Amino acid sequence: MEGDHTKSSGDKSVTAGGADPCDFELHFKSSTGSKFSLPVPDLEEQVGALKSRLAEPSGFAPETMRVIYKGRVLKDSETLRDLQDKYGLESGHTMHLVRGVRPGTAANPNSGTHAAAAPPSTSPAASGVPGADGVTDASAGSVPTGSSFAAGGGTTQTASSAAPPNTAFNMFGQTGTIGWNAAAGTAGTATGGAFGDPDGAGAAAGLNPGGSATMQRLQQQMQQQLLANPGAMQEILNSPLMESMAENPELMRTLMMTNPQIREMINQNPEVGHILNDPAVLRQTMQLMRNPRLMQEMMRTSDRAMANIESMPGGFDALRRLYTDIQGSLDPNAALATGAAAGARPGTPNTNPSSETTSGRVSEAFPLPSTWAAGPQTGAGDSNQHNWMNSELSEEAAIRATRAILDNPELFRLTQEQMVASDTFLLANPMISAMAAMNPQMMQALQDIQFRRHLFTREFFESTLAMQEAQLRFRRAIHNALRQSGL
Amino acid sequence: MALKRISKELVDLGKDPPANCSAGPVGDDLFHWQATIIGPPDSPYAGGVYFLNIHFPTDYPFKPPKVQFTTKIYHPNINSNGSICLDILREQWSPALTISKVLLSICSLLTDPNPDDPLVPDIAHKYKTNRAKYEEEAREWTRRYAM
Repeated sequence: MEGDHTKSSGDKSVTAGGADPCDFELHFKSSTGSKFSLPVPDLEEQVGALKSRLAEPSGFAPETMRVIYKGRVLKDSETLRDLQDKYGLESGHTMHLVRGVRPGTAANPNSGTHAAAAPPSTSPAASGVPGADGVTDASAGSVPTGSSFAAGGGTTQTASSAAPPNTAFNMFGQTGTIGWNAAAGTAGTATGGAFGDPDGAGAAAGLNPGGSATMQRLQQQMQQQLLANPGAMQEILNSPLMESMAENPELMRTLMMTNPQIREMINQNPEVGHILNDPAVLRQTMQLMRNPRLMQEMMRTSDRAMANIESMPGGFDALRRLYTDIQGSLDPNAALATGAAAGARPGTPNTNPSSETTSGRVSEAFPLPSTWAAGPQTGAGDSNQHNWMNSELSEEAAIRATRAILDNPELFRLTQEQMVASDTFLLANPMISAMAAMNPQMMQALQDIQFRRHLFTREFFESTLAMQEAQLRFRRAIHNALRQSGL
Repeated sequence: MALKRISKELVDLGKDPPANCSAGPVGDDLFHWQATIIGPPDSPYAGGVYFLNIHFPTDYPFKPPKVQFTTKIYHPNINSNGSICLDILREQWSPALTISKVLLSICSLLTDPNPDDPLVPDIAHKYKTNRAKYEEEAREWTRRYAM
């Protein structure tokens, strides 16, 4: 196959060894002026692996190396086959190599304060000793399966063609709904301050490159703090501090540029750089976070997830068992919710006739086992008219079900596969589809199975769940307050 | 006509791109390209990777392509929108020029700014009166935006 391609490309047989059937050779020009060629035995080779092979001839460390082809910085997770398909890579083509700045070294000069606040735990990755910390770096920067959302370099790399999706998806990842990683760090700092919390320093550390574990811990802390006080996030976002930060693009930029993932993203997608240059965009992003309705739209996606699970063979039954056997006896509404969910997917095998009859009636009005039953603006809003269901209880049931899926590795795997396989799943979310319509790169990312594969990690589901739980608690708190004040 | 010419340039660029420049179509639309310029080693932009957008007019090569930086750069002839003040992109355009040559010209503009025909007078002034300060600033911008 590759051999055919090489021949058809009319390449003037610059390739060296003729023994191998896949004579594929690439030329490289390094920013230092050197030129060399490298045979490619396997087109499935990822750019990341190619970088390791290039380390010796180029003299650049793989983790700082940037490979440029046809005006784009290549992502580690791309295979040469991808490049062939997408950009017409052929044997004999030339790529450029540039040494990037080590994560951490560039950021330090203009972010002395953050660096100073960094706890020792982040220092190994930030130390900037070439080679010595190669392992740490590789795991933070170039492993495409990096699982944590905020910290997973892999996600960023796969998604790098789309900054807005990152914004959106990180919002999923964080109860507090802060989009950018760095913005999260920002909020973390603010949180630390607002709560008079000694972890303020840790929050700043989250901004420090390489501290992926720290970042995760920080996020958890933030989440907990925010769960404990749901109004806090609004407060923080509305605070003059945040306002002034949004107004100060230079500060925001500095904060963001201290995050290696964001820097990487900017490297690979110059438009992101533009976004960061534009205070209006930053402000908009903040406003979006402050607007519960927009958030709600985004969170509706998780309902779709539920719907998808039900459409899987066995998935529904597992869900139903969970509902009826475990929760059903405790909570009749949950059983009803299951029924409704079953109705949403007519093709789903349903072994429980009684729930089928229930669902038949409900299905048109209530397409999703919805968290958003309460939200009049959403598609599921009709269900408000149906008094038979207490939306809050069903919401709780949905959360329990999601948790059950997470607890069951087999079921989780199925769910994940389903979501990865569906290229319309994310687009079903109006918010995301609107963003994708504006940004063709995001559209491309969403339709890229690799991107989805990296997106739908366990962490992704867990964080979505955490967000839902927080929402529920938040609403309950309001309900309680309303009831207690007699309104 | 335009399409054929652009395709040819694309093939040539794939085989033998200039040392510091790389370019290719953004998607399926051959009239919209993206390009990178690696900061020339003998300039304060060394080590930076600059992204550019290229739009070919439908009557290319009889009209010049529109070329714009998308990466911020501190340069007397490139403004904050990324617009480039370069004669061959305007009145001095010739159908004999190619994208490869345009990118190379931009590279040499990075090495040798033209402060007498500035797009950003402040930077041009600094370049003329305090070269060290200009270089320091340019390096800082490179580090901040292009690395």
